[in-house]
Amino acid sequence: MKKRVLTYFLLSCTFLGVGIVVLLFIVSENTMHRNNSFIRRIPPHTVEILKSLDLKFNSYYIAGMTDQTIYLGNTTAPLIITEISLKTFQLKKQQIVLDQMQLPYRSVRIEVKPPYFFVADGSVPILFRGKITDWKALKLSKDLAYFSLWTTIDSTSFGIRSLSSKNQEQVLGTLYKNQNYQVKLSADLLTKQLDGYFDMDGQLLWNSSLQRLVYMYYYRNEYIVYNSKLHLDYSGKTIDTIKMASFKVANLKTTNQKKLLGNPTLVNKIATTNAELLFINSDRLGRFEPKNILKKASIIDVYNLGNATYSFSFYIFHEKLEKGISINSYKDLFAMISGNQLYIYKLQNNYFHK
Amino acid sequence: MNIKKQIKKKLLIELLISMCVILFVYAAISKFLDFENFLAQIGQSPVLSSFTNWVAWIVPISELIVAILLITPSYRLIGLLSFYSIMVMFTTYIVVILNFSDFVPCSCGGILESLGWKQHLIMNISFCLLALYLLFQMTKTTSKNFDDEHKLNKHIK
Repeated sequence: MKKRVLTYFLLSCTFLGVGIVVLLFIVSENTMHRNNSFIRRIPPHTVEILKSLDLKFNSYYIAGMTDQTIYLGNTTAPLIITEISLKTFQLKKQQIVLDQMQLPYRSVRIEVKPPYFFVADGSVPILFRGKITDWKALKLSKDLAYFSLWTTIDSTSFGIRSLSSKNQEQVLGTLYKNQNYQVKLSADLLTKQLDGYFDMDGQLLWNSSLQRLVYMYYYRNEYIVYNSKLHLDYSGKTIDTIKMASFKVANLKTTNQKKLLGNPTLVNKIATTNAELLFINSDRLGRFEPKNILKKASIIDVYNLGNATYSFSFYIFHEKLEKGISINSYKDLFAMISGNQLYIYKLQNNYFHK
Repeated sequence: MNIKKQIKKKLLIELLISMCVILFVYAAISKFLDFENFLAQIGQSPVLSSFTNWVAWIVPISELIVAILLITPSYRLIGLLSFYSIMVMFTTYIVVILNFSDFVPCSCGGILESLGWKQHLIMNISFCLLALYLLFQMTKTTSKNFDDEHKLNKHIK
């Protein structure tokens, strides 16, 4: 073989080699980000544990968070707020006082957004606001519409989920102040797949940096992003492959109840949002993930709401088998309550705030 | 004197080629021994994750095939060319990972685990250069032999 021929051969081998890998990279990037072949990418060292705290009870949830304090609500003591200092990690309990204590409260939940805090029960329905300096709350609105979920947009407007009076299906809406408080609902945001109740169930969030509401479906690989005027921006896909909720619903005519038959596949469990990111805790395993990982960790998938793509995932390791209850994130902090335990993690800037 | 030099050179080439063979055989076997782990690692790779199953089989098998080609004298040239191509691919892979992907995954298994990505890149480039050197040496010797034979044939005529 002559030297010239060999050089040609080598040149073509080089180009072919480089070309194949670059092509693989481009195709892989596309499928990972857009076609969702459901393989998680778990880069090392994206989060770093700051503290793990034993709360002694499993009824706490995260009501709010700043870079100095985490505020915990408690479902069995609905008007107790527990403040955790992020410097000393000491717990401090506060009693919330409402100006209307004698109502049939059933599902009181608190959201803390300093300097305010909000207390609401959509089954009454009633909404309070107060300042965290004295933890006294005054009624903002009452008896406007029943709601099953709510989230604070600002000090006078809220995202809610309610039931349509027409067909008893879930609808999203807002409750806001325009001289008086009023409610606006839109039936066009949520899409029905099965019964229009269970299949549309999910979690409602407010993203302050994008000024958008986010609704994450539990039983399908989807979340929607819309503004406070109830205009849909887009519907995003999570990495899971379940597009359709699949379960059976029994209509119990005698008691006029709807009942879920069997265990539906819970695609997305809990969500929170921070900056442009959406964090979703999911118990569904991707390909090439060890089967026993769920026994010792919670998987958090990170999505970018700015461009509707999946970014990556990370694990929150447990001390024992626990059920995740609540997650929250503020600036470079990520907190999760799992069972009795509160985990506080630090997000590594180069991954989360590009 | 000349013969001694030639023998020395031949020995050096054999030694270098066996280095390539050992590298690939070791790489392939360590992948097969811990195949599940290897699958998981490829699954994590930002470049390969969508082709994990394919790549996980193709890479170690082709490494073995190339090693066999390299030890078979009559296929040595093809072996070296494929060795070079594969090393170019590995090198490109590292460059892509270090510069263009969203994140840098954990590195290879086996002994190579202790290498960082940068050292790995240097090692790969040196093996590429080694393959180039071997290829040019081989063509030199083969064409020389060819010329010699040619002369010999002329003589006989």
